[in-house]
Amino acid sequence: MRQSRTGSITIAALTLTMTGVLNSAAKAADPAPSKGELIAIAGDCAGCHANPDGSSEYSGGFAFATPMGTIIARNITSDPETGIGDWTYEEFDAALRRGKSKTLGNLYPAMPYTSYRNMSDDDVRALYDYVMKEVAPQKNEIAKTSFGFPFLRVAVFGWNIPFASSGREPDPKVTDPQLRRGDYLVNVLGHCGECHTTRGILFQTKSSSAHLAGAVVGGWYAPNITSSAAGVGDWSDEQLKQFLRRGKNKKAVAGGDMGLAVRMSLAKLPESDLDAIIAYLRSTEPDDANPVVPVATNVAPLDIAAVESVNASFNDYIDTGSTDGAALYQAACASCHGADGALDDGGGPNLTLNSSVRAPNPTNVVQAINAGVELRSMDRRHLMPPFGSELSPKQIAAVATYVRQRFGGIEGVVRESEVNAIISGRAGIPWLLLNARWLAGLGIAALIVAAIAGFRTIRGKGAQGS
Amino acid sequence: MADYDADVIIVGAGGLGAMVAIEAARAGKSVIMLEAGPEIPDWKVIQNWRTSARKENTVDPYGDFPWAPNSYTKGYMNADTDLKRLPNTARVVGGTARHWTGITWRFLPEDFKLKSLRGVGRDWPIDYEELEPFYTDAEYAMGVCGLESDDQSGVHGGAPYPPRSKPFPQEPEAKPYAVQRLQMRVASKGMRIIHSPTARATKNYDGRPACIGNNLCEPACPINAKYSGLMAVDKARAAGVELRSEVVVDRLEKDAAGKITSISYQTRYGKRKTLKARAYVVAGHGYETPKLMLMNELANRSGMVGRNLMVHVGLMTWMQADEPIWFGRGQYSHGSFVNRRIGPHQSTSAGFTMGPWNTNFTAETANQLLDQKMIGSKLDAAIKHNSSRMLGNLVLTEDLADPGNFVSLNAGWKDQLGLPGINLRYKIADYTKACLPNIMNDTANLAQAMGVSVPPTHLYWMTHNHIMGTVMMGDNPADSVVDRNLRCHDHENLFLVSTAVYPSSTSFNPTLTGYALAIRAGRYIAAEL
Repeated sequence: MRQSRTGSITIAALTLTMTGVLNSAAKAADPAPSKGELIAIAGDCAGCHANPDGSSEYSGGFAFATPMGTIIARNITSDPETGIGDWTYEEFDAALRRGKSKTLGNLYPAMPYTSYRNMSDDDVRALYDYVMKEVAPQKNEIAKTSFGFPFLRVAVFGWNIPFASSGREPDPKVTDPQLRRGDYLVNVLGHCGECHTTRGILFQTKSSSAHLAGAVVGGWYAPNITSSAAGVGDWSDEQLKQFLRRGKNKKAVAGGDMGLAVRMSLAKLPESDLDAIIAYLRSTEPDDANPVVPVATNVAPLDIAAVESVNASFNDYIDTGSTDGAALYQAACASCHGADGALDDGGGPNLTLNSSVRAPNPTNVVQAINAGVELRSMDRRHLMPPFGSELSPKQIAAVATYVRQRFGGIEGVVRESEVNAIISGRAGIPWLLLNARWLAGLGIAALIVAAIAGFRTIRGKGAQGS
Repeated sequence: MADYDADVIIVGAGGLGAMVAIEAARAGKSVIMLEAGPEIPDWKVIQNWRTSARKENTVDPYGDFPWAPNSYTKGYMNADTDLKRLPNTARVVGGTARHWTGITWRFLPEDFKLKSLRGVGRDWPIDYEELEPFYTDAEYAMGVCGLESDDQSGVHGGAPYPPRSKPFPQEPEAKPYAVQRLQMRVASKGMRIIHSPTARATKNYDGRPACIGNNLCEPACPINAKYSGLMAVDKARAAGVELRSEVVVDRLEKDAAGKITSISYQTRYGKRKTLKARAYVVAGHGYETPKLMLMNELANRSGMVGRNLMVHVGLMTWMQADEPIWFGRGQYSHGSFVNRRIGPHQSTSAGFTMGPWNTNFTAETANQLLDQKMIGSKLDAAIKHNSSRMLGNLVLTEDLADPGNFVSLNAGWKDQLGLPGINLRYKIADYTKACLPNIMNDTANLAQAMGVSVPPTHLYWMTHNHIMGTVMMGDNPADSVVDRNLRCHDHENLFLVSTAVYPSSTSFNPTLTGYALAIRAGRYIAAEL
């Protein structure tokens, strides 16, 4: 980067506006990625396994907080001690497609082996070769992930019996090569359904019903991406490609894990693969679930004087307790999004068009306000700073309500409790899992009571008999 | 040994105090920061500004509190001066480095040797080379954008200057149309605008979004593209520093050897608390730092505490070009003319710099036209015509240390806690006035190049919000307050970290150098403990 920059500096004094052009021209073309690397990219391995310090795409260490516990992504470089350099092909395959780790035992299904299980042998082999031969070994000792009771690894064994094969298989009836490729990219390598398909009561991915029709997971809402107008049916190919490539178009911005997926995976895919994904999404069964509301066309201009009140005393300067969504929006948000929500280009995005604002639930609006959005793609960066440290959950609820009502035309109020559930990541997690700890405790207690009762009965009977 | 509440106690949670705190905390020291002002989040500052009826006061959104008066508080500053307005300060968590413009020029090697090279003012006890690594660290902490190929001295033949050990952390922003037009047209006069380094994200930097040209660098960037002192405070807290706000330090006790033994503050409600530390740092900027020393009769063997006030006298000229140039798009400052910055002329007249001040002049234009009794559609058309052509040119002149310019205690005024006000005396020096002919020449050339036909307005001396000199740094305890490490000559465990330690002012903004000194002091103090 520095190199291309110094090249441009010499004439920058007079033609600074050309800097961007010069930079892109000077960028050296990367050598074409190997087959194995392309699979790693399409599989979005780096989305989870990249080192958070940016030093390596595969040396792990990122901690994913879930209501069940914190999962730390493993080091999957070829380092034999701290990575997987001493794994055989068979061991690698077992982890990838069956969730059986050589070192850890049963993997938690955060590793999408239920999707990867449908990878072709050729691809698994190519990926193995890539990891062992091309990925530089990086020493990075990762602390073992251990969830508390009852989410022990041994419990995953039981979960695997019905659910290990729950990932959706590519449709064998499809013959068109582009659609077949798209199906494979979406459902197998890209494991899109892990987020976009709603999960069952034990968090298993559902393979048939509601496929890609939207779900809340990981604290964010992954919207309906089927061919229905409730999904991406009314997006143009151009808009879809723009989103997949850059994480942003007029209608949507990729926040949360989708931002990572764009940055680590989708932005780097070859053009033909993006075309295949788009063709496949267009061919999906339209599911009208979770529709976004139509773009509001009647956003009334703001009467700023009605929203902003003048400070009367010095105490007003430090009174930060306002829960007036309109006033908070005007102070914290309008400088980028505009008083009427419609600024784009530079600032933005335009909230009246944004699909998160128009979504059936406020999850992503709340998360964007709370955690911010940092989106990096090949040539662009977008950043919305987090406001979670400056605004209380109650204030976030007020801003989210205002944004959805005024720019989305959505009636209804976002409640503080809803904001708390979203921020804590508890939203979208099945009730059984959220309550598993005491349920399991209760179950065990019941077993013990039953055992004691049984023992007594037997003893009693014995005593009677003796 | 006495028990300590912390290894280091820092008075003043502004940018400089926070940088000391960060360095000490990262070295494993326990740190408490004490701040008189309250904590106000950025969104609230923007709200306060938008609803303020006092737009001429750029620290107004940071409040004016009965327990922490500032330069705008009625009666607080008893001034004897020919300046139209006093340099201001914000008393708030994050300090005056929240309302700054973000301009971050380094001083030049020559600036540190004013006395030896030009025979006026004072030399610094340290030189550029010694400070250079800390300049670099300060630039990376703030995310400064700049063009390292520029000759920032104007006298080194266009070769890159001053020397740097690392490139700027960020590339310059795209040039607004106004600056492009200016550069093209003033070239005919042999004048050149070079890029102004600023602590502003041009790409996303350290969690800050890139500037989108809100054109509100003061009093606060509404999207935090501009670096703010509050960011340093947040980083300090993340490093484990304890912050107490709305507490006003008024007492420091010392032992017979001059060592500070305790520090004591009042809460805004007048409750007193005393703390002990191994080292004490006062980072209260150029008014409050000397005030606290004078109130406690500290550090003043030389009699120089509060003296040598330097303020950067300036001139702001408005003129109307012969074409629409649309000032007010982009950031406040993009570049400067630096050819009068340093040189032999400094022996007799102040060095100065000037540059386009890229704000929107609509309100001012409207006022001018209303004064001419213009109304109706004619007024609308004239506002559009004039304001699109209006350009501002801001001059900043070098100031010399003169003990006759000072701040002192004003016992005749008391704040809510019973603490005194400040007397201020400042007279514009002949040395400053001597550069006026050159300012006029350069301004005339600029006006001619831009086809200005209406006489420029607002040609009067004003001041920048830069306060320097009042706790002077030097090797000689007889004529300075702190030594080269910012330690008080009179007190081995008391350090004053402020732009008020500058022996000379130079003709550029002081903040970056303050940050470099603060980082250096923080490491020095941590290493010594």
